Amino acid sequence: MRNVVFTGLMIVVALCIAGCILDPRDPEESGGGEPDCWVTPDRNPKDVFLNIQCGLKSIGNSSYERSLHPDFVYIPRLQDVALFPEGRFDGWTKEVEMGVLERIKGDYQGSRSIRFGDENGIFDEESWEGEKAEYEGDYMMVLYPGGSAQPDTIKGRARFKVESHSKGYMLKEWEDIDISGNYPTSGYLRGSKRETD
Amino acid sequence: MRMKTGVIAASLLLSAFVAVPSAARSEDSPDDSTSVWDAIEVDGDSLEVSGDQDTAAAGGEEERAGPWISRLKPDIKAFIKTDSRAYKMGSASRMSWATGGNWNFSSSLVIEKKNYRNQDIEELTESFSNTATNALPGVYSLSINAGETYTKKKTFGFGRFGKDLIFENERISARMLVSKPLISGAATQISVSAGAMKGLNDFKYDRKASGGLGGFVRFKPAQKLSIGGGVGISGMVESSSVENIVFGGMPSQADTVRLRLEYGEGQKKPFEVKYDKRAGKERKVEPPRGNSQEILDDPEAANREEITRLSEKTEMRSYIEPISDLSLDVSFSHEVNTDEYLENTSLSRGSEKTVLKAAASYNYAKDGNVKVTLSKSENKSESGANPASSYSEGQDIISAQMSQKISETVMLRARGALSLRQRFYKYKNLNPRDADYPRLWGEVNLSSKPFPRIKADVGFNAERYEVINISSTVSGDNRVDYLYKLRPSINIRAAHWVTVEQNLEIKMEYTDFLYGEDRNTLDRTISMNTRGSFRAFNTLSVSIEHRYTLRDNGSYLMREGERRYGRLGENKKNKMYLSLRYDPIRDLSLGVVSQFMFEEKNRLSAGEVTSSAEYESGGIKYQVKRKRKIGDFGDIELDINYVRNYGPYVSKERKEYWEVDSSMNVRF
Repeated sequence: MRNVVFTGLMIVVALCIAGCILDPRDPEESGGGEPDCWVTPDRNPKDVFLNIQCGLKSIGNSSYERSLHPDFVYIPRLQDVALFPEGRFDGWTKEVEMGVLERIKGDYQGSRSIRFGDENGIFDEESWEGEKAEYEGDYMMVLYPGGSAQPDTIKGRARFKVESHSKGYMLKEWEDIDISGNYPTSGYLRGSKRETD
Repeated sequence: MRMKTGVIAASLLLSAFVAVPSAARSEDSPDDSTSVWDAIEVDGDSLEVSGDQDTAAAGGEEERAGPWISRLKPDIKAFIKTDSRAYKMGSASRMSWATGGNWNFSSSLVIEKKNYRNQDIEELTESFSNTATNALPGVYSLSINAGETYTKKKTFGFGRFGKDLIFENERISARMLVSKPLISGAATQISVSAGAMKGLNDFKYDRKASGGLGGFVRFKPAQKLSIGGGVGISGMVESSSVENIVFGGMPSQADTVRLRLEYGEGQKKPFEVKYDKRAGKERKVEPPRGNSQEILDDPEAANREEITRLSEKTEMRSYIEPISDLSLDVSFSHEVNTDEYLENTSLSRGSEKTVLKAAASYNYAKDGNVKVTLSKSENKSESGANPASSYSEGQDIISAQMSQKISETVMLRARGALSLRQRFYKYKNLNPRDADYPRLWGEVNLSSKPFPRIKADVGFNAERYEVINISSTVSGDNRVDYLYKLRPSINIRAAHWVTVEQNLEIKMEYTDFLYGEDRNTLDRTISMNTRGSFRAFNTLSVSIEHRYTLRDNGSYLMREGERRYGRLGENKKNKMYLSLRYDPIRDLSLGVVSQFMFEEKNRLSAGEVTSSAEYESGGIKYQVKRKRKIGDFGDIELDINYVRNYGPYVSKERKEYWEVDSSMNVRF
């Protein structure tokens, strides 16, 4: 009997605390917002890149978030790793990537765009085998801080792994492999925007 | 590259008809430059006050018995590895010598070359290292290391336009650790280190000299009470040359403080407090925005950076068992980290995190346990680049888990959590805006073994995750993601030579947008895997597997007062795997693995297929594995695979290639 009382007590206390402290705020009614730019990525793995472009440009994060595989990882160049304190790129998960995206959107209040591959979206290397696809080529981000400030350009060469998941094709890995001209890579941008514990 | 030519030639000669293993040094670390943050750290946590330390003589003397030649142990390895992307070859030769008198010497030379198949890139890594150690366990240890590393990455047509990326460093370092108790009733550790290095690191030539001193003392004033504390100081002077520009006299320094107070014994104590602080200043030359290409074009673009760092952490923990079967574990931690950059201020940042956690675990029955955990945390984050993205975040988590053994063959496990993460930005009228993220999830698993050769399990998962953007400008993106998953599985081992298993997974995910329901989506996935393994003879085994996946997605809209699902697309996949393995003799294995996939993708409208696409892909892999010992001196391992793939979008490199992983190891 004592066991039942104890167990029940623990559960009741937990539920009471849950009701007391887990009280989310009410949102303001939506003012309209942006048109949806989501493409259901169920046929062509490269549709993922369209959704990421849309997700970076948009003030909302749903397109970017839904484009990332639950096991998403980012792999930086060694030279970018050397620039930051030890551990800055460790455990780069989807959650970390979304945190970095939020910070990018905070620091660049103007327009934000990203291009994958060449001007026609064609990568130098493309391979697609059933549920997995790999692409390798250049990317370029142009980020405007807002006002009259000059934009920051981020360029590099990367290898992208896309994998089919229950919601369609999703980006599973972004690996920076080289610079592209006199521009910082996404590793530099990501390293400088990541939250530290 | 100025490594001893004779040694390299000898190593290359050995590797020419060898094949083999792993590099002593990671290929992923071209820059082995030291940082002042690798400061003196004395491991006070493992320091125990014990009367045995004086008598803790080296236990390795027996191993050192015998003629000197028997204590000299050369080890030579070489390897070749290839796959669809690259091929690597290299060698590692190591020699260790226990000379007696507690001295050990070791030397290693590692060379590795990597070429990529579809790109004109070549990477060469070499490292040469010599270490001498003298240790008397519990009393002291002395380590002296000297070595050289070299890494060259040659690229054509990439960002560096054919310029080599070179890291070449020579270094020497020594560290002395004294553990002999210097004060009665206390355990102490004192560490002294010094080092120097010079070398080319991509765009700059560095020279560094460093040193450090640290100590830790632990007292035991009472049986269960332990008090400890330690300090360390380290410094480094660095000069860097970029072309003809010299950045001289760049001092860096770091200080550490560690305090410990513990009451109790064992891993979990009734009370313990830890405090760690590191503070210092680092000065170095850095490329602007991380791109050294810019400096190679214009050396004056190099930055002399000064970074002020502070890291402080306080932890408190209490673990008690007030009554039998009940334990309480309470912990608190507070952490502050700041990095301030003088030149590149956009990299400056600061954070402060506080976590309070309480857990209660109760064994309510002999085979039953329940655990409830409450956690509350607050994290403040400041960004030096733009205060608009500075915020504070609070998170509350309540989690519970339970396990119950129902009978000898049935076990039930359940766990779940409810959490709320709330983010508050410093500037409310700029993006990103405040947001709340409530999450609720649960999981139940029932595993059973109803008959001796049959296992049957079933699992169920449910999750609800909501994104609540507070501002009207972004609340149109507010949504709730739901996930439900049911996972029954059965495994039958009908006889010692046959096993059949089947796993079914039914998954449903849907996203419900609060203000833009025309964006609502529903995704359903049903997958069933069936696998049979047969062992026909002792030497032949066959495995057949079929995987079926049906996935459909569509809209999930409110129509005439109720939710209606409109299918927009479906995807059907059938995958077959066949694996055959034949082991004619010991350490020789021949195998064939083939796979085939048929995929059908349909677009739907009003339940009708409007367009359809079909894909076929597959491949076959032939494997030969051989391992052979060469007397007592070593062994040879061969793993050779020939792979062919087909499909509409398979790249040229992956259509047909060899995978080789072979090695040879010789010990004297």
